Amino acid sequence: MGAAAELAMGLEGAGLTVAPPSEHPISGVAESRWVAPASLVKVAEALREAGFFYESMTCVDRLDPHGVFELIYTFNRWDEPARLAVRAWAPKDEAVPSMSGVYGIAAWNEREAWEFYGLRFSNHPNLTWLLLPEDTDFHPLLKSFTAPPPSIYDDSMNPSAAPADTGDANDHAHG
Amino acid sequence: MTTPTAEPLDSYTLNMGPQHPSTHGVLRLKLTLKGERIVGVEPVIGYSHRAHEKMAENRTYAQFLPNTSRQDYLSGLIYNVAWVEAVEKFAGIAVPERALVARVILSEFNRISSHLLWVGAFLMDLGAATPFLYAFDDREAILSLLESVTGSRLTYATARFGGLSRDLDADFPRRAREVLVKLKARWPEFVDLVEDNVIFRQRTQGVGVFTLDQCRAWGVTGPPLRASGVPYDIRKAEPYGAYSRYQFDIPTRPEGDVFARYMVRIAEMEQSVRIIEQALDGLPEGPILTEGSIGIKKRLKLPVGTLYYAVESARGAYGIIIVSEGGSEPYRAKFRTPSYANLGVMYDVLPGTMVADAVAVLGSVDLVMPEVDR
Amino acid sequence: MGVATVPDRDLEQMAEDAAPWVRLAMVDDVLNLARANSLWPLTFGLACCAIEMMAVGMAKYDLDRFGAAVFRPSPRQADLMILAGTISRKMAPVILTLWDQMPGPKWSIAMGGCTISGGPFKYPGEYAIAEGAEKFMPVDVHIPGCPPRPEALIAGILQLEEKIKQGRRFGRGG
Repeated sequence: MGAAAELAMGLEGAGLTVAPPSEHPISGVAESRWVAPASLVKVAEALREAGFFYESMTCVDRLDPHGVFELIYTFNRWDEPARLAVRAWAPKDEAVPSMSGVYGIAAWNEREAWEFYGLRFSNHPNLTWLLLPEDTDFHPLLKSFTAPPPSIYDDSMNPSAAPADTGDANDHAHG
Repeated sequence: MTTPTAEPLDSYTLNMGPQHPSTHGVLRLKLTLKGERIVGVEPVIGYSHRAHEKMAENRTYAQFLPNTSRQDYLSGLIYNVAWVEAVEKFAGIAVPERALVARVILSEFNRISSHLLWVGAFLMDLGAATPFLYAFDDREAILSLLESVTGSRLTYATARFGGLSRDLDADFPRRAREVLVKLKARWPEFVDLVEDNVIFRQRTQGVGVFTLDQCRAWGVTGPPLRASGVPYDIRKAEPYGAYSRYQFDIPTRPEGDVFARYMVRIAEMEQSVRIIEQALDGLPEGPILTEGSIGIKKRLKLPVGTLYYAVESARGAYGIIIVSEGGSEPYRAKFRTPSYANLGVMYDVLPGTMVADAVAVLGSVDLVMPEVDR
Repeated sequence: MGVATVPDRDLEQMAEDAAPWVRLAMVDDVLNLARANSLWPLTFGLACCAIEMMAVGMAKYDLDRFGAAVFRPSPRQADLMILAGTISRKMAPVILTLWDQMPGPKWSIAMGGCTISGGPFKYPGEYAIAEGAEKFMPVDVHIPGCPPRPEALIAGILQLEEKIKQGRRFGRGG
């Protein structure tokens, strides 16, 4: 049995997994399990013990219709292809425990999730802007975000600029 | 380690970047120094954030093609092919044999050109100005070759869903082999000029060691990981495209220092030449694009689901995560870029080194900031 | 005191007579000739265009023959800022600081579509980039392309030289 399957079964045995809240399939991974946000740190510790490295974290805006952010963590190994996806639904206004004490790179991934989605992480050493300027006051990757406030860097504050033409259908996807 | 605190009085904050000749793009490092020794580092990134992930949600899969190369413009062709292959895998689009092999050839040339630029820039950081010129000379030969096939020198949008947009012409194998001959003639010069140079060795051996524990905690992949002794390469671990057909080694070195990372990349270029030679020998005839493929004229819709697609770029493991809700645009596209993790490890590696070594360590990791910032 | 003034037409005659051995010119013209032929760019790559800028400085395209390949890392020593790459909103104030630090006379070249208008990253509702360098600083020459070929950057620098000297480098037909 591969290392990913072995670990996934270990997580199940330890009671750290939950039933999938959604049927959304995932491929390109060896194993995938759903966990509750509260168990994320324990899961991370188990993975670190077993020698997995932290590969990536994706935050997906599922506020409409579920009111949650979906977190997809992937962990992998060097000695065999064993990508394990750990998925969680984090309710909108609840803080998710930070994994940064277990895996160093989680600190940046979580900062990014905060700055692009507004999702808070508890026990995070430095939850501030990472990629965006420090005076940003919006969370851009939310589906509800469509345009930033007027700024000198685009034509919004330029009275003589021509209004943005909708162009032909090739200009942007929604045409 | 990242908590902003009041500094003790005998330490000094040095700001490196974002405009700095050696930070390879717009990286800002806030170094806390005690004398010449770095005791703390805070990388400030985002100076090259161009909203690729937001754009992906508002672009069809084909409209996103120009963005793919611009994430890591030195492995632009590899990233372009990766996006196309991810979509092909998700949608179940077949690719003709000739296109698979052509993608491998072009990707490996791209990898060599990326490593060549790294060699030149890294040595320039250490003070050696001449190898930069040699490296670029070889790189120009590769870029001319790639330009003759794709039309672009740096940022490519040449792959299509189901193959490539342009076929390799009949003269391509001859020109490609000429370039390989030129490259192979250059390796001994690099050995003479660089590797046996005592100053180079003193500046790079034993400096900036990445331990395995650090690599695991930060998710380091690519040449820095292989230079710490781990033979992890996506082309072997999760073969994609036509890579499983070719014989090549994964060069590793046990030391994990700057010198090891240099030697690993030189060896990787040699392995890439090996792959290209095998691919050219076995280049099949046939179409370059699947008959009736979607191309870029119709809007491709992917089924509902999430896909993780990994390739080995010149910098490490590149992952594309596409979350599709069945539309013609991704619901979410996340790019797991190797330089993100390889920069993160600086939190653990730089403290303890001398500030003069910071440039060597940073350069040896081969960062491309737009890839970190996306 | 006691400077003898010479009528203009006599000056012209003197210049003509002395021509095989001595040339006369306005100081400004000489200075502009010197400035144009020895532009010192700031090493300032932001993104992809920076790689083509590096390629221009190398052996195949050789910016050195135009006197302009002395890249200076410090803005205090540079007189040309080649903006090569997308300008993010986080970076724009930094660029302005660097531009202000450069002593005059100074020029700037906007290389690539991103610095002209935002390039491929401009879309309605974009939040991350400055749609062109001219939103916050003056630009002398714009070079379109994504990225522009090295020859295009050379053409842009030659264009800047013309602008500085108010005359062509290679003369008519050059």
